Parts: sequence; structure tokens; C-alpha cells
Amino acid sequence: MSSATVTSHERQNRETFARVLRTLGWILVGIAVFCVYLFLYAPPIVTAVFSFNSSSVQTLPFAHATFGWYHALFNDPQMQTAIFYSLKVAFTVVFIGAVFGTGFALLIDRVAFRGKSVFQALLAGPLVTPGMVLGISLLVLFHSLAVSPGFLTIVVGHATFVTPLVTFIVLQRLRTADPTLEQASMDSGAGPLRTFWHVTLPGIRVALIAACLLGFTLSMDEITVTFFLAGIQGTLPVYVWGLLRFGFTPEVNAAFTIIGGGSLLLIIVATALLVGWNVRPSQRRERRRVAAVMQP
Amino acid sequence: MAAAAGHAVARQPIGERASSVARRTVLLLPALVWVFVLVLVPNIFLLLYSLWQNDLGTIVHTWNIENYRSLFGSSVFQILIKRTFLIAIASAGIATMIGYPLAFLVVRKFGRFKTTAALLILVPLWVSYLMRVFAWRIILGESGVLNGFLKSLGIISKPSGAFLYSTTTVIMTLTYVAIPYVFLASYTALERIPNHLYEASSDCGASPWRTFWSVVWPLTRPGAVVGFAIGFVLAFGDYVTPSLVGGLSGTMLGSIVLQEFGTADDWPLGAAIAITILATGLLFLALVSFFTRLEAQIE
Repeated sequence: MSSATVTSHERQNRETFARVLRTLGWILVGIAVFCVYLFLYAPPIVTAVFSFNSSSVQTLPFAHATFGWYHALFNDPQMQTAIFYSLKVAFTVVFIGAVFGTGFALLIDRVAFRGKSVFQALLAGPLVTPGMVLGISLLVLFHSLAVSPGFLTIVVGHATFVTPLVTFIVLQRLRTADPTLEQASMDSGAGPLRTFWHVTLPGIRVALIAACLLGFTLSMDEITVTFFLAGIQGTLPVYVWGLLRFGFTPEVNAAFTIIGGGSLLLIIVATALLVGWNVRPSQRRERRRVAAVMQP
Repeated sequence: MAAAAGHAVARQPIGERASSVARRTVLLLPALVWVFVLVLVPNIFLLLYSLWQNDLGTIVHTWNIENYRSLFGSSVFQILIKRTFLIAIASAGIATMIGYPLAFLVVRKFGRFKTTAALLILVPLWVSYLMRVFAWRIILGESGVLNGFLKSLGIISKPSGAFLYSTTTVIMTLTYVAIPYVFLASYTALERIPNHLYEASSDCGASPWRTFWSVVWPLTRPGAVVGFAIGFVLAFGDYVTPSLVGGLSGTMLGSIVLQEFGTADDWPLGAAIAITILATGLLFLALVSFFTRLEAQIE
């Protein structure tokens, strides 16, 4: 045997070995990625599964499947009150956030004023401060003003972080919008209000809806700020927080499963909106309108 | 933007221009009131409270730094602030080490499943925070899912209480909470790198490893840092996680603020701790952003 064939043989071996090693590496990476997804989904899945477990002790082995906790949930007046209270808070907060958030976004985008960057930084402050610090800073303020904790304090607390969220999402959209459309509208004789309603608002509609859905789920879910601002009647997370410490029942799992499912539905709707399902009909309408104008 | 404002002025009839200062004031007023009342004033009040004293449940309005002095003199506080800092660094760090490579893999290797894979990472963010943390108690508890699983495999003979109520559990749970944020920040940074940068680098003879460290990482490091910083701030001021899964050895600064505003009823001291948390967080963020300034930019 010549030495040349040996080396080629060796090289081939080495290449095969390297390929096997690389495949093995990718398999390991794949397993690692799978583990991360498993890690992320274990808690929600466990909660959903245990909401159907008939035993009131959260343990394996699984007893038998039941809808009992959902039934109990719908017959628990305290839980119901908390859920409706949370919904009321969330709707109010989203309304305030949408109005002020859009206003502030327009202000930042359209009006030149000194200290704009300071204003933006301060507005965004509550989004990045730890929830606990935000909660107690508002608590001491309300306490000093002799405002007793309740609906108002919770709504204000949530509005401090939902509003900048709406502002920055809408601002992102405004920055990429075409300013000539509004100018054209004004030149055609439409007033500022009409221009806003017919040109500006449709332009930011999708971003605004997405921001509102996001703000809604944030408000429904908020605990760290709300804990300090709630009065006798707490929102759902505050009520559940009390239950978790004294007297937990799997009803909580059922409530969270329903809310998690509801949030998921909202997110799917928001994504669908952003992808553009509802842009098309209006575009089609627009084209028809343009065609009608052009024809005579 | 200045141009847009210029148009706005030019569009107005001449008669109205005189009133534009008044109009501007009316436009700006709600914004100023908002940040003043809801952002500035609460924080000023918090600072004032931390300088006042608590005397048997009533607040004495004398100004001094007695709260801070007693805090930093107390060994319990020193242990807690050190532990809180380490827990926050560890959980944000681990989350970055998981979230960033994951974002890289999703962007580079998942092809047309990229968006779906990214959305799937973010979905758990919309599941209630409280529930996500509490579920770990169901999983790790003495009669929990993990113990049941290990027992049925025969790995352990009797349920272990070691999984829950420890510093490790707190770090793991906070890592869990931080991963989607780190992923999102890294993903948006990585997605902006055009494919031709990878191709150019490999055409110049760089190995994938070299391409990553010389091209990709310098361009996306700020994204990873933003994710890390979000994770750090979330963990540093948290009280839900330590009180649900931490037990005694997992107590953090947030837990005692809760105490001071609850059963201990010493608001000035609680305010002082909160100010310490806020200051530490801000200082840390300033340091991090100072040392990781962007070196290069995608044009």
C-alpha cells in the first residue's frame, strides 16, 4: 500500500468524523432549544392541566378530570366581583391611555417645543421603574393628598404605564406616516378635526388597536403597582394574591386558564390586525373611491 | 419634525398666527401636568418621606438621613442588598445567556418558521405574572409535579423539599420571567443585520465563529444589554417572586419594603429602601450603558 492512499483514507475518516460531530452538535442544540420552550411553557400548561384536576391538593398523581373548579368559579361571588372589577379598571385605563397616549404621540411628532426629550424620558419613566417603587411613590402621593385607595387610585396607577406604552407604539407608526396626506386633506378644505378623523386616525388605527390590546392585558395582569393602590375591593390579581397566601383553591387555576386563554385570543386578534387582514377592505374601498372620482 | 411644525405654522392664516403661542400653551399643558403630577411629584414625595421619621405610627416631619444611616448600619440590610444584587445579576445574566443564543438561532436557522418561533417565546408574557410564578410552586413543591415525576422514575425514593424555597429557586424563577424580554431585545437587534454582512464576512475567509465575534456581536450587543438591563430591573425590585417561592433564604429587598408598608408600618423606612432600590437600579443602568456604547452602526 502506498502512503498516498493511506492519507486519503485518513482524510476521509476525519471528514466523516467531523460530519458526525456536527450532526451530533445540531441535535444537542435542537434538544437545548426544545428544553427552553419546555421551560417557558411548563407553568401555563401545569396551571391549565391542574384546573381540570378534581383533587384540591396540587399534586401528582392526577386524580380524575373535572370541570368542577370552573363550576365553582362561576358560582363564587367574590371571584366574580374581582374579575368584573379588573375588567372595569382595564377598560377605563385603556380608554384614558388611548386618548392621552395618542395625544402625546401627536404632540411629540407634530409640535416643536423645548425640552421634548426630557418630556419623553419622564413620560417613559413609569414603564421602566420597578413596579414596587412606582406603587409606593403613588401611594405616598395619594396619602398626602388624602385620597383614599380605590378605583381612582388603581386607574391612575395603571394609566401611568399604559399611556406611555400607547404613546410610543403610536409614535413609531406616526414617524413612518406620510405627512403629505394630511396636508392634502387640509388643502382640500378639511379642518384639523376632520383631517384627524378621516386621515390621521385611520393611518394609526392598527397601531392604536394593538397598543390598546397590549395595555388591556397589562392592566388585567398587574399586581406589583396595584397591590399598594387597591382599597378594600382588589383587582383579580390582588384578590388571588390574598388567596395564594391564605386558602388557595384550584379555582384560581381555572380563573387564570380562562384569562390566559382570553389574553391569547386578544393577542391573536392583534397580530392578525398587524399582519393586515383589515387593511385590505379599506384599501379596496379607497381604490373604488379614487376610480369613481377619476372616471367622469 | 421641525419641518412638519414649520408646515403647521405656514398653513395657518396670518390672523391666527398671533394666537399660536397661546395655542401652543394649551396643547402642551396636559402633557406638562401629566408628567409633573404623575411622575415628578410622586418621586419627590417618596424622597421626602425617606427623610422623615416614623414615631409610633405617626410621621414626624423632621429632616435628616437617620433612615439611611440605620439602614446601612444594619447587617441584615447589608446582607439583603448584597443578595438582591447578586440574584438580579445572576438571573438577568443567565436569561441573557439563554435568550440571546436562542434569538440568534431563531433568526439564522429557523427559516420561514422564524416569526412563529419568536411569537411562541413571547406568548408566556401574556399569561398572568402571578400565575407564572405560582405555577413554579406547583411544579417544584414537595408534593409537586417534579417530585412526582422523579419518584415515578425511581430516581428519588421520597419527595424532596430541596427544590422550593431557596435562593436558587428565586434565581430560576426570575430567569424564567426575564427570558422573553431578553429574547425580544436580542431578536430585534439580530433581525436588523442584513444577510449580506454574513456573506461578506464569510467571503473574506472568516469562520462562522469569527463572523459572529467580529461582526454580529458588536452590532447586536446593545440589544442584548437592553434585555439584560430589563431583566435586572425586573428582578431587583421584585417582591412577588421571593415571597411566593423564596422562603426565608430567598428574601429580597422588595420583601422588606412590603413589610414596612404593611405590618411593620414604618413608611419613611420603607421609602428609604425604595429610594435605595431606585438609585441602585439607575446607577447600574448608567454604568451598563456607559460600558456598552455602540461601536458600529448598520447604515
